[in-house]
This record gives sequence, structure tokens and C-alpha cells, in this order.
Amino acid sequence: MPDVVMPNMGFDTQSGRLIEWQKQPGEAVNKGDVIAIIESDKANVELEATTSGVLIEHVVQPGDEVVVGAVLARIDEASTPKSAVSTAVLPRAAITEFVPNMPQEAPPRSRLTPPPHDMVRAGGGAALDLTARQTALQRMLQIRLAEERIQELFLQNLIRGTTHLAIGQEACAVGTAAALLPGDKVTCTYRGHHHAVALGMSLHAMIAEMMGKAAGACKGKGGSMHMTDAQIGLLGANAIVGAQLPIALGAALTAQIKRTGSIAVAFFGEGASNIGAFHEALNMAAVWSLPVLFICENNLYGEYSVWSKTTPVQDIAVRAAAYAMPGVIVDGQDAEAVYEVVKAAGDRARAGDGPSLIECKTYRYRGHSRTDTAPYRPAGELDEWLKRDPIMILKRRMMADGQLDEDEFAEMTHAAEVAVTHAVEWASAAPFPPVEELYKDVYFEG
Amino acid sequence: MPELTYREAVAKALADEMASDPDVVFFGEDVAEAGGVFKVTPGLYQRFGGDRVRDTPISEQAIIGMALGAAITGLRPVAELMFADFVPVALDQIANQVAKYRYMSGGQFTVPLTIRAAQGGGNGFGTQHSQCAESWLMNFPGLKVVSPSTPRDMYGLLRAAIREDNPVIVLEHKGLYNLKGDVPDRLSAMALGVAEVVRAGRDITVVASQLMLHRAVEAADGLAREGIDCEVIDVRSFVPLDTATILRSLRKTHRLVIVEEAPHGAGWGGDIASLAADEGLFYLEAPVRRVNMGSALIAYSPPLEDAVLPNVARISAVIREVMTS
Repeated sequence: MPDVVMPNMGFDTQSGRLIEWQKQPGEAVNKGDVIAIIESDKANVELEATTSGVLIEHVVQPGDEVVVGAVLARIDEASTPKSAVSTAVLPRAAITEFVPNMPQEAPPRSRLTPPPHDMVRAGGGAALDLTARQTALQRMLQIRLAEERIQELFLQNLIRGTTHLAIGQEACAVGTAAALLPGDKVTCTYRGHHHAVALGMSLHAMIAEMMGKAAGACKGKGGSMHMTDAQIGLLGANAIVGAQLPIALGAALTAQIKRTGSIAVAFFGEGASNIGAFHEALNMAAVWSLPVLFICENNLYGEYSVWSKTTPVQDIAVRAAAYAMPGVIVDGQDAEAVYEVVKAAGDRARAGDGPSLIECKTYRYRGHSRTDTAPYRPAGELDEWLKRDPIMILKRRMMADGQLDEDEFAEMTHAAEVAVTHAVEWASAAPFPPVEELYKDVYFEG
Repeated sequence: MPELTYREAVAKALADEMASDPDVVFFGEDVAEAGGVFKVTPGLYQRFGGDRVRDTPISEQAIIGMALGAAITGLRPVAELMFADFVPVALDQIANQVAKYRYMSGGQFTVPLTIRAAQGGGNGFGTQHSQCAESWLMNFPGLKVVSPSTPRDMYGLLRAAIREDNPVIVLEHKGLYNLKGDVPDRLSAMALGVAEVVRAGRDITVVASQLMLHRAVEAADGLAREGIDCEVIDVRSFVPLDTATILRSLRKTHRLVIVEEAPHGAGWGGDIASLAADEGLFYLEAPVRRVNMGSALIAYSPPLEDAVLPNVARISAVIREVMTS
């Protein structure tokens, strides 16, 4: 019988106070339902059920101060699948629930910013081949299911600090990854789990890193916000907004000087386009014609603030004009549209014609980080975006092209679930680093 | 043994490393065609070409971030910050990125990056163009911090910094650019992390660097005529710090004065004083004293700037006090 525990609310919060119960003993509870309101020193937080069933018992009462990890209530789980570590896994059906009303006509797959930009034309029908589509779909499923599981691990305090989920933004990452070649380099943001998976990072190494284990991608020294894998060209996720853009410049400089034909990609959010490093990087890339792509995942919210409160332009892509480079807007929910635009901009960069700014219009289904339930979003907005779910868009297109049926999709979803579950079980059992590791890797010792 | 200026030693070290390693590239503001605002790097652009020697926009964050990205992907960049006072402009890249990149990635990268910056007062550049940066930079494990005081050390330590597979900041004192000194023909790279006893003495240890080192030596020469025999140590490397040389000297002299071209609070001299307290307490026969800028800022007006920087008279006075306490 799974326990509802006091969640980790981030930062140094050690405990929270129960304000009120939203579900009473005997009531049915669905995964995602708000069952209680909790007060931490930062904010009031809605506690969502991570499993479905019937609420059996309140263990604590309103007004009680409860430490993180302590049991708040018990739910009798009726018929949801079990896993070794978490109290619940995302039901397979949840993916399809996202798209009850899929529009018959999708919006334009890419749109160019108005003149005076030198325009990049999207690839014109150069969609992904079957293998690449399968890879893109499989990795989007892995991202989705891994992120769901990561959230549960965070609530169980098995992942510490904070974590930033990219659920909803999967197509930006896999569409870009499909357009990259071996030798290309990528920098990204603390919301970067999807980039790591899209580039082919091992789920085992990724989850272990988030759990602080020695077998993590960064030996447990980086954590959720610093996913790095030099072997796949992932030069690092960065916890400082905008700092990864200049670093990508350097990878592009190496490619230019050594004439490797490789490119560099910097992912960032629309919020980063208001920080100085963004402007310095675009300017320098343009004056040196560096082979670098600046890919903005505009998910509409910079932390808790809607973009329009902080940014005076409608589209981030128009900022390319200030640096005399192409600015392209693309449907960030469509992996193939992202692929086409990134491929075209990448070809241009590889040919020595310089950088591009690509804006992917996208949406994060979850809040900024785990303490954030995104109360600032207008009612209905999320529902509208759920209709444009990136997994469903590619799934439907593959089904329409006779490349996929429901059984095969269910198999792919199951395979992703199994991969995530294995990674979590493996990472859970893996040892923490010994304390001597603290002083290693500060300097290269030769 | 050829004699070079401190300025010429910088250019020669850069040129020699660029000639021996095609991965060494050099960029910064006005460093290429103009040869640097202090005329430190003339001729490099002409000799090595615009691919490897580049003028950047005035974009310190991008300069340092780009250098980091280049360093972890196969180049061995040397990036110039025109004035060390611009370190805070690029501090995110220096403190959060360059210093931590290897560690955060669990050792996946080496960071063979050199940052050069001109620092120091005494030339009427005012409050924002005259500061020394060592104390700011010592708080970021992962970085190495080097401050050469002579043409020989400038040449040997800059070459070592460029060859080093860790990020190194080499701070050049503007007041020393015209200083002449011998640079041995066969010198290539010197070891990082080694202090030097530049004047041996029995009575008191004086620890200093760059312009303050030369003033401390002058003070010591004067005090010798009064019968005070000073041992003067050039720090040379702030990170890593050569504690053994300082402790060895203390064991002999039993007295310590530190001369810093920096404000007192959280200044590097506090680290040396703490070293003396932690590991050299039983050698000491007198209080440790620091000669520095106190809590004052560097002013433009000549008498004010002269007053804020430790000078020979002030250094000598403090040494006399310690000798009689």
C-alpha cells in the first residue's frame, strides 16, 4: 500500500506544514489529483497524487509540521502497475490521453521571420527516413517516461535539490539531434534531460547522476543540472542562464580553425535571450561567421513569468536581425519540422556561411521546477498545448504513412518504460562515490 | 644572456608557444592588428595570421566563454582581458564555468586555457583601471593564478601556463612593462607553484609580488644600512601557493611582513598570515603585519594614489616596528 510522503520542495527546505486536506479517507484518488496543500518557507505547494487508488488514512493533520520524506497519508492502489522503486509508473495509456482532439490540419511546419533577414528555407519535404523517425519517437518516449519517473524520484527525495522537467519539449531535442553529425558539439541548459537522451546518453548514467551515484555521467558531481557526456558531444548542461552560449562559440571556433566541418549547437530558453551573454555570443558568432546554431526553446515562461512580461518582442527569432544572421521560427512540437530547419541551418554553417538563430515554439507541461505548480498559467492553455503533443504528432504521421500501428506504438512505449525502470533500478542499487572523490577532478593532475 | 623588457617577454613567450604548438590561438580586444593597447603583442597577427590571432568585440563574457569552449574541444587558447579590472565583467565565465568545468563533468575535460590580464596601480588610470585581481581569483578552486614580477618569470611562467592542462590566469603588472631583465636563452617553461627567495636575509621575512616586490627589495636595501637583514620572497604563484618556501623562511627569521597591492579585507595576505598562524606559530617572535591599501580605493589624483599604494617608506616603517616588537 503506497504511502503519500512529504515531498522534497527544493533548496534547503527540510520540512513543510500541512495546510489542508483536499481528499478525505474513502475518496477515490487519481494520479495527478491534488490531495493536500502544503506550506513551505518558499510557497504553498499543491501535493499531487503520484498514484491512483483510494485514500485510506490521513497520518498527519492540518497544522502539523512534517519533515521531508515522512508519511502524510496512505492510498490503497487498486490496479496500477507496480515498480521496484517508485509508487507508480506512468500508465501506458497516459500518452494517448494527451491528444483527444488532434487537429486534422497541423499548423505550418515552419515559418520564417519577416524580412530583412536573410532567410533560411526549410528543407522542403526532406522528412526523416523510417529509421530516423523510429529513433526520434523512441527517444521522445524515453524522455517522457524518464522525466515522469524523475519527478517521482524527486518527490521521494532520491533526487535532491531541484530538477527541471522538459515534458512537452521533446521534439526540439530529438529533431535537432537527428540533424547533427558525429563530431558536432552541444551545450544546453539545466532543463536539459531531453537533450541528453536525444543525443543518446545512457539512461543508466543519467539517472545515476541525478541520484548522485559514482556511476553517474559526471561521477555524481554534477547532478540534474549538469548532464555532460563528451563521448556524444554533449559539452554540458549549464545552471547559469545563458552561459552555455559563449561556450558553444568556442566549440565552433575549434571547428572553424581545424576545418573539421563540424558545428556547435547552443540550446537555451527564451528567458536567456534577455541576458548579456546571449547578445555577446550572437554578435561574436556573426562577426566571425562561426559554425554555431543558437536554438531557442521558447516555452513561453521564464521561470514563473510569462515571456510577454519580460520581453518586448513577439518572437525571439527577430533578435537575429540585430546580428545580421537568419532568424527562423519553427513549430517546436513537430520533430520533423525542427529537423528540417536545423538541418538547413547546419548545412549553411558547415559551408562556412555562419550562424543562425532558430526559435522553436514549444511548451513545458510542468512548472519551472518541482516546487512550481504553474498557477500563473491561464486556464485552458495547457489543454491547448496537449493537443499538439510532440509524441502524438510524430506517431500520427507515422501511422498515416503506414509505418506504425497501435500495437507497435504500445510496444515502443513498453520498451521505453522497461528501459527507464531498468535504469532506475540499476541507479538505485549503485553506490555513492567515496568521500575521497571530493578532491579529485578539481585539477587535472597529469 | 639576452635582456628583455617584461613587455617583450610576454610577446616572446606567446610567439614561442604559438610557433611550437599549432593549437595555440590568441584573441582579445585590439590584440591583433593594433598589437594590444599596451603594445604587448605586436607582430603576432602578422606572423601567425588572422585565424590564430584575432581581435574580438568588446565582449568579455563571450571572450572567456569562447576560450573555454575552444579549450575543451581541442585548442589551447590564450584569451586577453585588457585590464584585470574587467575580471568581474567576465566573472560568471571565470568563476562558474572555467574553474568548475572539469569538476562538474566528473573529469571528462581538461581545460588548457590561459587568460592574460594587465593589472596594478601607480599610473593614474583611476579606480576602475588600476586594481590587482589575485585576491578575487583565489576563491575559485580549479583555477591557477600566477603573477610574474620579472621578465624572466614572465617568459617562463607564461609559457608554462600555456602548456598547462588546467586553466591559468596570468596577471601582468602594468607598472612593470618597461622593466628590463635577463631571460636565459635556454629557458622554456618554468614550474608553476614555486615561490622565489629573491633576497636572502636573517632577520625578517617579507612576502610580496610584482610592483610591491620591487618596492620591498628597495626597502630591504635601505634597511640593510640600518642593520636589518630582510629576506624577501616573491610569491609568483598564488594558486597553488608555495607554502613550504614561506615556512622555511619563517623558521629562519621568526618575523613576517606581507606587502599587498590590494585592500585589506579578504586579501591574499590574510592567507599568508593564516599559514603563519596555522603552521608557523612557534617560529614567530613578533606579530605578523600586513602592509596594504586598508579599506581605501585607488584614487586618480597623484598624491592620493601615491598614498594608497604601499611605498618604500611605509614598508620600511612597518618592518622596523616588527623588528622592535
